[in-house]
Amino acid sequence: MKLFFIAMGVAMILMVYTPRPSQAELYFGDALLLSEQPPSGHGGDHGKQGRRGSAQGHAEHRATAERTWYLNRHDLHTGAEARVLRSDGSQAAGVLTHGKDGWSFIVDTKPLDGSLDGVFTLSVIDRAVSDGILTVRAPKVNMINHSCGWGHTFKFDQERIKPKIDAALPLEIVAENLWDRNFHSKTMSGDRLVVQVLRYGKPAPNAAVSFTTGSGWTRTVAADEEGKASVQLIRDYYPETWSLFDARKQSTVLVTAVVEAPEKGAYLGQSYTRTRLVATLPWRYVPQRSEYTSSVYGLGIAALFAVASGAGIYAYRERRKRPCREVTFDERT
Amino acid sequence: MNALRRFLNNGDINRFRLWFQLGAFGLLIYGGFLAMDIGNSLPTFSCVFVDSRAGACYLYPLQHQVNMPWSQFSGGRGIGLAVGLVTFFLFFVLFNKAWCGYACPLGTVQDWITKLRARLGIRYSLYANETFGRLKAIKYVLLALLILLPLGISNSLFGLPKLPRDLATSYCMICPGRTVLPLFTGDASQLAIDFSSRTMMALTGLGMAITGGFFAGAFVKKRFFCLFCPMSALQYAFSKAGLLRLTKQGAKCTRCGNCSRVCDVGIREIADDVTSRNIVQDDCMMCFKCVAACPESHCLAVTFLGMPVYEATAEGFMRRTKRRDNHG
Repeated sequence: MKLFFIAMGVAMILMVYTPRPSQAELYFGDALLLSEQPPSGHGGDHGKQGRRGSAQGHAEHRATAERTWYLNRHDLHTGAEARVLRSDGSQAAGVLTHGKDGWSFIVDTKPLDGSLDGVFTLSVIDRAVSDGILTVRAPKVNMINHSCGWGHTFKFDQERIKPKIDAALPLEIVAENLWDRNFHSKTMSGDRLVVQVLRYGKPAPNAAVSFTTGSGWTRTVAADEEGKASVQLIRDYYPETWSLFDARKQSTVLVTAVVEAPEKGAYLGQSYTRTRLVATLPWRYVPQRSEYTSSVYGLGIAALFAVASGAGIYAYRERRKRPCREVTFDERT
Repeated sequence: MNALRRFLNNGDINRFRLWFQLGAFGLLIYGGFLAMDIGNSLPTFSCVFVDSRAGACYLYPLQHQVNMPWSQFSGGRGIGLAVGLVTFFLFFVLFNKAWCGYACPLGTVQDWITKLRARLGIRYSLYANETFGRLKAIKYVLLALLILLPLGISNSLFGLPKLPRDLATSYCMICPGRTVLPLFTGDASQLAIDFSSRTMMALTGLGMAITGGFFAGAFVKKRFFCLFCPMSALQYAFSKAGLLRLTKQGAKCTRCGNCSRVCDVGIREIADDVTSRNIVQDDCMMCFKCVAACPESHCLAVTFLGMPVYEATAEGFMRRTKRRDNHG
């Protein structure tokens, strides 16, 4: 009993507060991308960063009636449209609005009964013609709409955690295996991020695919015949001291795909002779578990306590063994 | 009807329990592979760290759900907490503490360790009455911490600063269920110390120490961990409402002590208490070994909604004794 309370006391003393580093600002050049953080970098409806299992800044485990997403740039053109593809495959209206936080659109996630449990695909299409070139920007993001309170009915339904392909998108990046079966984001540093670039739902071979981390590390590869490209996510998080280490720290990777083609046509009365399609997909990843866990220490402690307990019990039993005391009576007395 | 009742009363509850436990273990640990999902409010250690589980132990969502500011208790999240608690109650009220004796995977693992010890011919240990009384208080301390720590993350308790977020599921971090049960699905990743923060390091370190103690303790003491289990403490809060009950007619008790001697947990009151009708104690796991060991007809009985489903009878006792003697 005493040992238990001493152990609990020591544990409580050890649980001191560890200061967390502030979120560093991330720059991804002039790429147009969707984020739950407004361009100002602070505020927003749900700016809670760093929850364990949170992929997009949101707690993945709680149902919310609506989610607001922001574009990082203000220069959207006339005719820009937002698209929402829900987890059950149905299309929902996406309305772009411009306010003090720039361009945003609100995603309706109702009904909150678990029937829409799964991945939503949100995208924006922005077109403009300049110098005879039609530039189409198609930022996209995958959002998990999940509450553990709904249970895990779709645990073994891979379709629910597989991002739906939006065949109406001029250029789209589709990432694989972003969530585990419990609908928690599972990407860690060291994992291989595999994406497929699609043009109107069909593979876009040779598309230039760039993977850029928040610290600016970039790797560009050409998509293969199936439009697939991959990169091993590098560790992009080096706190100054170990006491500042945060296992929930989300490093960001931005996937950008570019396809250029000598296509002629006209858009809103302006003719063009070339098209340039740019799609983006941001994702976050946390430090690899093996970076901060040790099975050797774990098993060592367990073995030590098992052996110590066993030895203690053995010693206790031995101590209680009493030599046989034969009592003899002298019958004559 | 009488023939059926006689058949049941003469039955071997221990053998029934052995197979029931095996089935429950398979269901709760591997049921997910069959797309089974019984919910997140189970009154038993169906550990959330087992990926293929068929349902989740209520202590995990409870810790999650109480981790909210006071202001939200009256809102939607408060309703979520209430729904979870009511669901837990409904599950629990059906089988009362038999969830521990018949369904708990961690309890089943302890019973398997006990069988191994018996096979090896090593004698078991018992607590002295005084020690037993002191140790049983630990589960209430753990239950209180299990609720207060997550509550202290979102709120300032007693004027203290808010607690670190890593304490969100503090009990699960020290529970041997987290480290032991995933092993049955080939997942040894929980057998590790998490160095990501001092809190996690302390919790996982304590968890591994408890895991070591769990194996050593369960080897020499039957149902070693059950005496410290906060789920048992939480269950006892609702036990009086259980539809399944263990009852005693004190007038028929001769205080032979058979019931107490066969009790895996080591409850003395089952023999000593001749006044209470409902004899379920906070440490009781309703395994009903005591009923099987009672030689006095209708002294101990298992009832469901007041109807006896398994009763102690002199005939049943003799038959079980003879069967045991025949099997050595």
